[in-house]
Amino acid sequence: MSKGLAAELARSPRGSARRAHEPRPRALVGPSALFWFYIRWLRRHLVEELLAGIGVAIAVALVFATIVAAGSVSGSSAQAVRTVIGPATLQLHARSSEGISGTLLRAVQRLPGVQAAGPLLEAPATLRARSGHAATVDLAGAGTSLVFLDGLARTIPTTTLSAHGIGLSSRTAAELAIGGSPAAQHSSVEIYTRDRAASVPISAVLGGEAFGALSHTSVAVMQLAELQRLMGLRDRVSRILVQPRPGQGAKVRSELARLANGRIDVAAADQDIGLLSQALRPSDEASALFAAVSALLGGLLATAALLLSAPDRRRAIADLRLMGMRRSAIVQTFIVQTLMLGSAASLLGILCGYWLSVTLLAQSPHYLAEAFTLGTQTALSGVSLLAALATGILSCGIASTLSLLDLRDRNPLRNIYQQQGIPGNALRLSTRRALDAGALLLLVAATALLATTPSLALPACVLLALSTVCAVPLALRTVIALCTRLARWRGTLTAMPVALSSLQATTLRSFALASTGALALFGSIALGGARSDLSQGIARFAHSYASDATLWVGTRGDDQAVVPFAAGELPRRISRLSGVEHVAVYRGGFVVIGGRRVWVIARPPGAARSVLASQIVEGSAQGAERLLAAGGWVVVSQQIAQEQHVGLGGELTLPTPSGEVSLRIAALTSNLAWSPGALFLGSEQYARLWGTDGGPSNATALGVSLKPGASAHLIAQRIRHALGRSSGLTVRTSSSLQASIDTLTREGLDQLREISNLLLSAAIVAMAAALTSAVWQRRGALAGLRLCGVSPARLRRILLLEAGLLLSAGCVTGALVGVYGQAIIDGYLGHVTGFPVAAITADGRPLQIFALVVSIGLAAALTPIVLASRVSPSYALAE
Amino acid sequence: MSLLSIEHVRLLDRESPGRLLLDDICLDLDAGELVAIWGKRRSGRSSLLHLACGLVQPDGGGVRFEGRALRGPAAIGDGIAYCSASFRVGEAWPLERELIEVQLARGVPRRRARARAQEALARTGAHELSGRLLRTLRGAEQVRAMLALALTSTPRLLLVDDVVAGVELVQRRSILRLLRSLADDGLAVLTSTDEIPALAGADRALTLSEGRLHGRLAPELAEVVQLRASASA
Repeated sequence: MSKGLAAELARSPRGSARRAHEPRPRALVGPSALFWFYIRWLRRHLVEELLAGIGVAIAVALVFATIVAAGSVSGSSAQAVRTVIGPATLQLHARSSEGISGTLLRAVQRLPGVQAAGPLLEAPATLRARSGHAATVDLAGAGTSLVFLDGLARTIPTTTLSAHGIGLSSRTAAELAIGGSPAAQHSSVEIYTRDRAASVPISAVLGGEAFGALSHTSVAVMQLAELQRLMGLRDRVSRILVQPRPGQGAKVRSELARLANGRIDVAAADQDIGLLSQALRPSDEASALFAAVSALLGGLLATAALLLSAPDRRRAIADLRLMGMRRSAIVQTFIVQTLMLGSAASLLGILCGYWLSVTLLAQSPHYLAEAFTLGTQTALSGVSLLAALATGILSCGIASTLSLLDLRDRNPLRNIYQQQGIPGNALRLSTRRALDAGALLLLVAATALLATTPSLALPACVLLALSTVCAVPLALRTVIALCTRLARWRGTLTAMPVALSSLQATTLRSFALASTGALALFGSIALGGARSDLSQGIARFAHSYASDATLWVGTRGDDQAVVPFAAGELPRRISRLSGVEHVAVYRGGFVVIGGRRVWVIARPPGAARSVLASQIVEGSAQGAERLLAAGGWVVVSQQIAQEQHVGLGGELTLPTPSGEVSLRIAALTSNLAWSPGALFLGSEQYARLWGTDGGPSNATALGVSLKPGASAHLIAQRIRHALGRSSGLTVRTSSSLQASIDTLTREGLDQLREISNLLLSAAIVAMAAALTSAVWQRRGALAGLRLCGVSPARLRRILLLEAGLLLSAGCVTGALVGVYGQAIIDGYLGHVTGFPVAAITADGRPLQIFALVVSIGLAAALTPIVLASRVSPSYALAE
Repeated sequence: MSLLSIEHVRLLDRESPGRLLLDDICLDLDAGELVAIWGKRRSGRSSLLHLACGLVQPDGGGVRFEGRALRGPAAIGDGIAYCSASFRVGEAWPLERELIEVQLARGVPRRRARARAQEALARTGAHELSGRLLRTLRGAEQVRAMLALALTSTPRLLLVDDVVAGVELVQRRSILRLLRSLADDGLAVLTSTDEIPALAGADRALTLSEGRLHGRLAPELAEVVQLRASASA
């Protein structure tokens, strides 16, 4: 800080520099002087400010991307649902995949108070283009009556619903790699739904102008009668959308209930929005926890980035005070600087974050596609913008406030120039002790919180992250003490004491750097480890689910066995094939219980053994199997039981196509990786309850057990031959089904992986920026050492050792607390969201991450270290 | 063969393009010799010292140290020590620790580094300053500390830029005596100054003017130097 500058800051805008007889300097500085001061500051510390700004921007990008990505699926899917239903407010919804009779439409239209009603048949289907590209879509069949409802068909070309053909949303067309040329659009696609396969010409590719929000979903639309014929559901529909006349809603609802007679759901037309929101809630909650932890770590990383320049700011503050500037003016000056840096870095971070949210973090919960129409648009909100901006500015503010704390001391020199170490780096003994005690207290508080309320995982993680930062100085002192002993023992280790001394001399800077490493490890191990445990839990579920049979026959793309097909004589024909020991019929579907679209699984007696055993969280597997076979019992996900306030032995009311039935709970399970939850029923009971609505007695999958020594691939070929070419059914081995379930369910949790990977990447980049900044700031001292005859090679060795020690101290702290954080998040995912989570195992993952972060950190620091070590000795004279 | 040979060196002024800062400079320096260069501000005397240790590369001519051409600052710490009041190394720790750590950074084992540091402190009369922070030293204290730092590398050639800059008048003589005694011990010492009294005790006092080095001082200056030398003796 030049004296001229201080004088300029101290004097009034139009006055001359203050003399002894003049009144005290102004309490606040004028805008022009503030601007001038910041420009001067930037000229001297441009690289440091840029690197700090990059650190803040990275953190803000992380916060913004995770918040935006977390809210995008439910937001855009709600838009899609509203596009379908138009002004309809009520609906009759079938409880089974067989649908409800289309004749009901006329009855509904005749009801008093109904203005319009339109039918809709929906089913999951697989489309395959000629190019070989395939897409799983929600295939909808609508009639022209929906046009009058002003809903789905409001703007789409009427030919789409009247001609023989299929209209594809632009997203579906993109998935099938169908371009925009008319020739490409008028090709045909293979449709596989239920047990049928058919080739249908493409009548239109529907973009946003015709299909609204639906254009961003995986949807295809056909004429209702055409789809009914294709699916073998003559005159059946999935739901009837109803638009009551104004003020007639309640009356129409009661009339619809009378018509439904307890066998069909009467619900709000936009029920899917709530159901999807509920379905996304567990993964959203998991994502939210991950996002919140990432945001917190991002904020701390930003603070650490700013802390690197704190020694320079502290020196500048001391100099300004020595030159007579008033404290209020100093605070004002540094607040303005904080705002300028924070705002610029936050804006850059928001841009990067938006890019991340539409690329890396674009959630793809295809595992929900069998039950919902999903959107993929990125939904921006003012909240996410504000949160990201606040994170950037707040982080800068916290770091600046720490520098301004020196203003409390009457003697401006005491904390800066009268302490050992590089000026501005000193941490008082009382501060160090407070940090040590804080680390311990925060750890204890997190443990107490975890022990009493596992659902409070986020506050517990916050406490742990703060504890990690507080523990860093202690870890640094420990590493320095150990290495000092080593260096004393081996007097020839000459680079070590210099590196250690440098760490001691730059306490604040070392603290900031090591904290960055600690936060990187904490976040990566806590979030990455918890995600890995969740993946392992899902993989175990997928294995146990698929291992009930060696081969599976079912509808293409239907991993959950919820799409029915007419099994007829097929089980008997397959069982006659050589090598086949047994064919079991599996059934399943979805049912809405208390705002959840629950997965119903009805497996033949004994078949669910491994699934139940691995997923039961309360009750006994053997007892549950016995009770399911006996009938009148159900095994249900713990979250559903909790929501319905029932426990083991309690009664759960189940809405079925045969009416509502009460079943007793035999055992409680995890959610089987289906976030709304699942329930097991005895196979016979399911057939009884679901097979009475006029539909044929169907299967949703056939499980084929083989004789010992029989080749699965050979028998799969024989079954395919038996099915015939026109069949829409597919034959898969258990390992193939397992891989498919595993992939699909993991997709729903992709965001967690992306967030933990992003956090790791952000932390590594932040660390590299911090190390670069720290090395850059020391060029003057390094040049001085070169002028004293220290060679560049020796400087490199010292700097690398220093960086290695710093990263190790920080990363070890972060790794240790991170494992604890992993346990907390595991507990949250298992108990609160209901996902199957594997227990923490003593694997080498934390060590791998530790090695990865330290190696990448050092590799990233290598270039600035090499450049800094080559600094010209003359630079010491210029300084 | 001289310890240091500066042969027909030319150096362009980086701040005034086209102007020669040093023009055809020749200078030989032997072990045990104390040579002082006097010149006005911006006469190029500091640049001459920078050339002598390889910090600056000449635009013409060459510099040899112990017969080898200097192509960079590699000889600093390996026979040459540079000392100036305008640069400081290590502002974190007390002087003795700084002296030890600079040597450790060079790769000198700890025990030897400590011994050398104490020897250098004793030799420069800075042992009383060993517990003081380097950044708190001023004037003669600072020069002694920097000389101690330079001596830890056991140089054969010592370059001291602006030898008495900022040193109180009463302390200057002791600093000049110290430099003389170092030369008497066999060290080649090349100093620069813009103050005539600082030439006292030099074996040779040269003038740098208009980019050229004059072999002898102007008669009136030589007389002053001689008077000073006899007074200090």
